[in-house]
Amino acid sequence: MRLFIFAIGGTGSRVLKSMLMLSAAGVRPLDENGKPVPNVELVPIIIDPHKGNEDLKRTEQLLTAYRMIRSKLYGNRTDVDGFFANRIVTLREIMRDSSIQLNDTFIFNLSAVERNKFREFIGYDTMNEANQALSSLLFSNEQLENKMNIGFVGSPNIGSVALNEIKDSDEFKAFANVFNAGDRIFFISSIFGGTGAAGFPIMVKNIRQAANLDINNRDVLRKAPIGGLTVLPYFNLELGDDHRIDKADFIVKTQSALYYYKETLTGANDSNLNTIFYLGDQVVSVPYMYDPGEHGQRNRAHMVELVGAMAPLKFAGLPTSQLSDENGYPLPSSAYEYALDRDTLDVDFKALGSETRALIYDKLVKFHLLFIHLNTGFKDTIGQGYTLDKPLIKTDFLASQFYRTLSVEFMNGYKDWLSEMYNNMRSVQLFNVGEWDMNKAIHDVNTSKSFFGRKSVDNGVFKSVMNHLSQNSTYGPEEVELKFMDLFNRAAQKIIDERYENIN
Amino acid sequence: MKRIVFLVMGIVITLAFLMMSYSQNANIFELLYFSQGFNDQLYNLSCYPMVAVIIVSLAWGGALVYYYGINSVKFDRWYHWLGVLAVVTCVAPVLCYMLISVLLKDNGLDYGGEAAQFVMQLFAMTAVLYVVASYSVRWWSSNCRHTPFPQ
Amino acid sequence: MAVLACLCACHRGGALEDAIKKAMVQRDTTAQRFDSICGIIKANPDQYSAYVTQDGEINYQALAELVEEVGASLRPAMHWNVMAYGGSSFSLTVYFERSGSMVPYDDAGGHGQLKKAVNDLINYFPAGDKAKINIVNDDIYPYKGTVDSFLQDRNIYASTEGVGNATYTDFQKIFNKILEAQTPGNVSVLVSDLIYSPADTKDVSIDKILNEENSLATNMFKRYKGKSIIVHKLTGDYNGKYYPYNNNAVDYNGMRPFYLLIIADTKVMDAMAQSKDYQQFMDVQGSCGTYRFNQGESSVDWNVVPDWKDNAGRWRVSRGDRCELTGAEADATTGVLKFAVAANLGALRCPEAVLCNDANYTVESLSGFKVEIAPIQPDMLTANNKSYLDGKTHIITFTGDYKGPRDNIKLSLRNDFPEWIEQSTCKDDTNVMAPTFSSTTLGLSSFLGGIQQAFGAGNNYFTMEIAIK
Repeated sequence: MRLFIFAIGGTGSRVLKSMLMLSAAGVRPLDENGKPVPNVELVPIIIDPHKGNEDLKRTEQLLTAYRMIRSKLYGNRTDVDGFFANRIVTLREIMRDSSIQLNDTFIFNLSAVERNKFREFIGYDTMNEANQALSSLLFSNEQLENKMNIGFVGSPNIGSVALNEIKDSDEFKAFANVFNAGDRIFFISSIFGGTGAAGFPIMVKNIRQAANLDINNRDVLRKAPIGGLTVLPYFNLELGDDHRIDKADFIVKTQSALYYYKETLTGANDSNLNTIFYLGDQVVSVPYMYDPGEHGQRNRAHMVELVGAMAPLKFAGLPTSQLSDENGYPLPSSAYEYALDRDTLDVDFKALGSETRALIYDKLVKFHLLFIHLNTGFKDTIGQGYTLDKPLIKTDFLASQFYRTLSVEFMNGYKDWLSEMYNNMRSVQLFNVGEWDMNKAIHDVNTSKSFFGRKSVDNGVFKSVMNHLSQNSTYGPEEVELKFMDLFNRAAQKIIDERYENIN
Repeated sequence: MKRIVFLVMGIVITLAFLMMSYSQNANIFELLYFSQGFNDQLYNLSCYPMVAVIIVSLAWGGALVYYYGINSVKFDRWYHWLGVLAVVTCVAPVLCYMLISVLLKDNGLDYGGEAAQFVMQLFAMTAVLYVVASYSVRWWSSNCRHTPFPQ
Repeated sequence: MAVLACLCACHRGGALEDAIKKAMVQRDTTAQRFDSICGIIKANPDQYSAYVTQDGEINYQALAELVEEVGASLRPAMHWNVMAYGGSSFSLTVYFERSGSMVPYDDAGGHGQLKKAVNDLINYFPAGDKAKINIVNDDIYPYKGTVDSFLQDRNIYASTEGVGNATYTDFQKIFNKILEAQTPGNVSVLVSDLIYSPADTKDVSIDKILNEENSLATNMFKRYKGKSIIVHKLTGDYNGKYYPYNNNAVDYNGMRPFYLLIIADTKVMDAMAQSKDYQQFMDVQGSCGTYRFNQGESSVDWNVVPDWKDNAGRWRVSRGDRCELTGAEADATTGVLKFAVAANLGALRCPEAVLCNDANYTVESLSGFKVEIAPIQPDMLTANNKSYLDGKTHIITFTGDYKGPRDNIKLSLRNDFPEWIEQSTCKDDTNVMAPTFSSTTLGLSSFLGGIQQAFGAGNNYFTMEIAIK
């Protein structure tokens, strides 16, 4: 099963980044029985005309790194356990029709949109007077003059017009080509901005009305299970004098959009959207700097994004019976909300609900321990213990592209992600950021007690457990990377089970 | 398979060593050092098998303790292994010397000088047997199987 | 560890072998120690079934073989004749001559040396209480009493009066009967004055009588192979009629020689000679001359002594059937190779003067080895050489200019007829007043010479071979 994830706008990129971190930690979509859903491929498609958006850039870089790391570990295999378990691919990678030329990227090409001012895009100057008058009624002068390469700057009325063109793009055709029965579609967008708020319903509409489009698999698309994460206002803006987004508009826009969604997407008898995840937070975040420029929109990661990242995984695990009727037609919408176990400003694992903890605790802790190990102990391990089992992990491993990508590129992204969530409101304190001592790494979780006090967890313990596991493991001569990651993953699980307090 | 071969070889070598300690004419303990009267008495008092058992026990015991008792990543370097070897190769001759001295004394014999020279060879024998034992048992050690050399 | 445990458990012989080995290493080869070893067998008859007979008794033969095997594995190899402890091992038969010339030895006024010598023999023989006693003159007659009654009898000749014909002694018949009656392990002792006094010697010349005696002895002993005879000369008080070869009886009151002839298979004799338990039996008190007749060479227990003050040069004694000094090197300064051998020459029952006289030995070697023989004195024993000297009587020091690469030393002790026999012989015993009368016997050398000739004159007592490499 492929899950096409359309991440729309800045919020879409940020949620996608969190989903990437969860995937790197090994969080997989689970079915109703808690078993990993087999053969899942995630196909993220980022839709954002604001290409200078730093959040988008960071997410894309991490996606590329993830893809490279996973490819080294598992190749094209899908059903794997451990770090980087979810297979994440680009549209280009799964395309069969080579007549369509696409870049091998996760970003939807919106060049037709982003080149122009809005007035040029709608051909304002070529309209007759009556139409110009109508346009002026619908769009303010500022909006008409808005250059769309910085997005729709909180104007869904612009986005709804501009993004309607997507249905004619090569990317959309490619998406339609590769979409098969059984695949699912998920949208991530904010409801209080411009791009996401407008793009989400338009995309849903175009898919459900695929019969009217000149694309393949129209019937399959028409019946496709579609889910969406609609992020309600959760961050604050630090506004300057020249601003086109006003935080005061967030609530008004949200209310309007919700009404609109109710009418067109999520009504009681409406089958356009099968599943909707509403997510927001009344606690106001640390204000983000409003910067629509080239390197703007580098916003701190937020707990809402972390929680939101679980939505597409949850959707992928929903049983088909909840999404389609016996004839394969989509069922009316069902809505999901999310709540913490404890309403606290400092969110640690214990503040999360038990289902969430069960889903992410072990995985994230393992990944965090990997992060610490790579930074503090791994280099010294080379030439000893399990690294000497075949295939050998030699010092040249440290210079490999895999290792550099993992330890530098991806782990720096992880570190930033953690720090940003930690320094935000609510403060996500899953781990004690900056703490290299594994015994104290998990916030408010100690190592378990033993006869001589607390059990110890350090790189030596990891080395020992990995040595032990390596004895009974076999890896191919080309599976050096897999050997290390798999051994660490299994060792970490054993250590969590045996040496940390159980909070699940 | 390689592991089993090494283990079997180690056992065979050790058994051969023990058997040779029983030999009357080609006793392994008379190859490197020989003083007729002294060695005759050791032979008569059945010291050789006892010495052999001590050496084998300490060499194999040392190896087992290192690879399965200690078996720690904190002690998985070649110099840790060498440290155990040093301890074993010192303890075994000292124990043997004490045993020989007691037995000789109990039988009214005075071979102090010869006994001291005799146990010198035991350093080498213990070290060799420790190496043999190490290569026999190390393969199944979780943390030290690559010590002192990678598999 | 399991392997070691198995190895120890599989140690051949187990407790029994260890006990034997320990006894031999500790030089505690006594009857008491042997009893404790037998105790091990009796306590575990199933485990040691090889050493138990069908009747449940100790199988001395099998046990002796094990002891020999254990002893051979020791350094130096040791021997312990445990057969001697077996109830059916060695038996004693005493033949007490009761001719007319023997009666005065037991005169009530004398010191009773003869009776004491016979009593000692019986008492010191381990199975002496089961000894058979016979009276001999013209034939062999069983003693009617018990061993105890014999020992307690103050006048044995009076109590045996009338047994046989005491007027003459038929040596041919007696020796034939003694030798024929000998079963394996039997030790026969003839107590006699060895005066050849056949019937009807009237007008027969003494030379003829002596030649006849010599021929008779040779003829008799030739027929019996593998025998060994030890003759002891003793003297005792004599008071009564003496019957010279011309049968003209004269009264004599003074000392007279008498003889004990111990007759046994050579192996039995060797075993007794090397056994501590037969030490007193073999060391006859009052013996003033002794000689052992052997049909072959005796085996002498010997070993190289590594811890000896005079040793020079280097070598290593190899173990096996043949003694070899391997890796031999002469002393770097003097070029002399000198080593000591401890030997139980006492077992040969030769006079000390014979044993310690270098001239009696023949040494053959390429390097011109010479020997010096000295009795082992208590002050020679040290803690370290004790095990090499224990049970040995003499030190033989070999000295030679050994230059290698190999040599073979052959040492022999010549079996020359001893002088004392000639000195104890007379051809005329009619003059009881002669000064030699008290110490000589008519025709002794003729009789003993006949035995010597029967056993093959010129034999060596023993030969010792040492290979040097």
